Amino acid sequence: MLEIKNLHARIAEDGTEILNGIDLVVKPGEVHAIMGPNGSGKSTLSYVLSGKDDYEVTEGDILFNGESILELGPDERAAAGFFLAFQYPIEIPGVATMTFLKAAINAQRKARGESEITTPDFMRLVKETSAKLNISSDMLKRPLNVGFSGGEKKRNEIMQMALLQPKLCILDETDSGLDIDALKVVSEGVNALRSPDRAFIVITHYQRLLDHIVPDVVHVLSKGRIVKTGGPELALELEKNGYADFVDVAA
Amino acid sequence: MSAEPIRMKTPAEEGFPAVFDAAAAGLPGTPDIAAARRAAIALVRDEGLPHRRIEAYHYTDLRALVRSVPPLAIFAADATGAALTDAATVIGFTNGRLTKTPEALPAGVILQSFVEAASAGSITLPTPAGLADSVSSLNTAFASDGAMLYVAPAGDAAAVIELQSAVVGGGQAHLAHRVTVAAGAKLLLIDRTSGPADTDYLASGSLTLVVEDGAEVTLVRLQREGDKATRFDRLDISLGEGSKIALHSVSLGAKLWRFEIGLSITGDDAEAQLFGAGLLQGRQHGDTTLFVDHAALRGTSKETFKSVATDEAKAVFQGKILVRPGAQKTDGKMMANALLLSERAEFMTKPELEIFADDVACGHGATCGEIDENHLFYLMARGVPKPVAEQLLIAAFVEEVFDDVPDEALKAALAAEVDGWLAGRAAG
Repeated sequence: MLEIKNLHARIAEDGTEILNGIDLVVKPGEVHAIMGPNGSGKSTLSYVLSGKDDYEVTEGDILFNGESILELGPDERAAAGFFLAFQYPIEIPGVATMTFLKAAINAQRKARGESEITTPDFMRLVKETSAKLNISSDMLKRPLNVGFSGGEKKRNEIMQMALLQPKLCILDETDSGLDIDALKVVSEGVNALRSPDRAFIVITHYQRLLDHIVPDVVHVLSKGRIVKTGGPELALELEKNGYADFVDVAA
Repeated sequence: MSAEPIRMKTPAEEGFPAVFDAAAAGLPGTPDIAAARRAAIALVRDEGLPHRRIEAYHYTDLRALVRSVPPLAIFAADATGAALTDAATVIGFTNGRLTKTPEALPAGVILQSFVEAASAGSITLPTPAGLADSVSSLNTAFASDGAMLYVAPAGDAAAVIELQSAVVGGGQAHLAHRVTVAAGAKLLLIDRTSGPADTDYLASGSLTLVVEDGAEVTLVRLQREGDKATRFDRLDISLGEGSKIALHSVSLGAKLWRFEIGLSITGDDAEAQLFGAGLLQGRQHGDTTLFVDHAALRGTSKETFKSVATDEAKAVFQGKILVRPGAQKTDGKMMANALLLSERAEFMTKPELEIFADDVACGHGATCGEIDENHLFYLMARGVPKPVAEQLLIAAFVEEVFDDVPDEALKAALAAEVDGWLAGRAAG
């Protein structure tokens, strides 16, 4: 599904190199966890995958179902099936949550050559999906993410993911800022979306999230490269010993 | 002794007096009104049009911007249309004349035309003092009709009236409206102006709104003149004790427009909420000039003016709050926000506070920026293409201006106008 080949990327503005040759293959149905210390390039990887133009790919390629996506904008990648659950979901005053959700669903349908969703179907879909994530109708009436708590924002991200039914979900530190109960709700939302034709890349600092969203593969990122790959047990090992061992390996 | 060098008049400075001389005999009014008109045009004849050295026109140099002056528009059949909301009674003007008189007016409302009032000598026209009052001068000189409305209390629901002004064919059209909202009365007034595309015409309007004690007025303005038009507006509001005014203004049209607002808080405990939006593209120049005069106790005024400018358009906001001696507990806040969508679009703002009372809360602020890249990325990461994402964000920026409009149909109509502008921009 996703193949990252020798990916190098830097910050467009000042040329700081962040990713220094990442290789990663993610197959349909798999959940890959990417762990690593602060500054290792985890969030950058999520942004580069999503097409944020603050970053430049200087070498390597990203293939999605065999085709390079480097020339695609963030909207085209989303229409192709990418979804980034933001570490810090953006508050957008004045844009009503429902208006935004409908615009997003219809834009993706249009890009795939499908007809627009009818208003009753849309309302039903949002109602069902939001109920599962404890998102109140009051939250849906507010402008996008405005005045939402950290947990509400994350639940809103997962709701969008459920509504848009992406192929590849990238979760950027979805656990940050969540208490145990919110973590459970969010994890259940993610687990409900696991399917043989959908893949996940779960970026996190802590093993805690991986108790709830159990990965197939765990990678350790350090200084912009994957320095170790293993099974779920690798996350436990990291939790016990910290990153120091692996960071040294990279150096 | 130094003498002013003799300055060549511009074609427009020659044009206004020439058009006046040709038309004066046909303009309505008593000899006193004719004298007021002559005094107003004398100002243009003697001093010309305001220019950048006139402080009030520093950013809007009419000498440079008004190139030529067409003759007065000729009589035309009624060209006004349906109201923005079914709730409204339309009073329509075409080419500066009353062309649509409603069969019935809302309860409590009395209408007289400007022509009737001027002929009876029951009104006076303002006497402009200098070049800073040029919008008033031109309107006084040329006003050919208007609506004189008196609104008496009539139950809980506000009377809903839409003043429409249409121009067809071109020329000049000038209207003067006076609206008195009696103590305790409620009015939702819509002031809507439009005209033909691709036509170099000139229109002005003055609206004098007297809000008596305890009266409540919502004024919705929609200016969508043609793309080559020049539009001048003067809005004077006076607020009596415990009265309220809410203004929601959207300006989309005209190559050159200036919208002057004079808000005078004369009664204690009055409240004003003024919202305005100017959407500017191509080489449009839009100027909002506001003067708020707090002369009473515990007055509240909140002003929020938003500009969206793209291409090579220029947006201007000048706002001044004056708090007179003794106007204690005044709460005045003025905010000007601009969103610039292109490299060459400009926003010029000049906020002023002049405070002569010592127990007041007054402030002003201004922001100017581009569309937030993070907002744009978030929307695009959900699959929304860039032009649609930009439209959502620009509409969100503007929406606050009419968010509180009490009539849902009216609010939806304003939102649709903004969406139409945005769609036109994306297509163009």
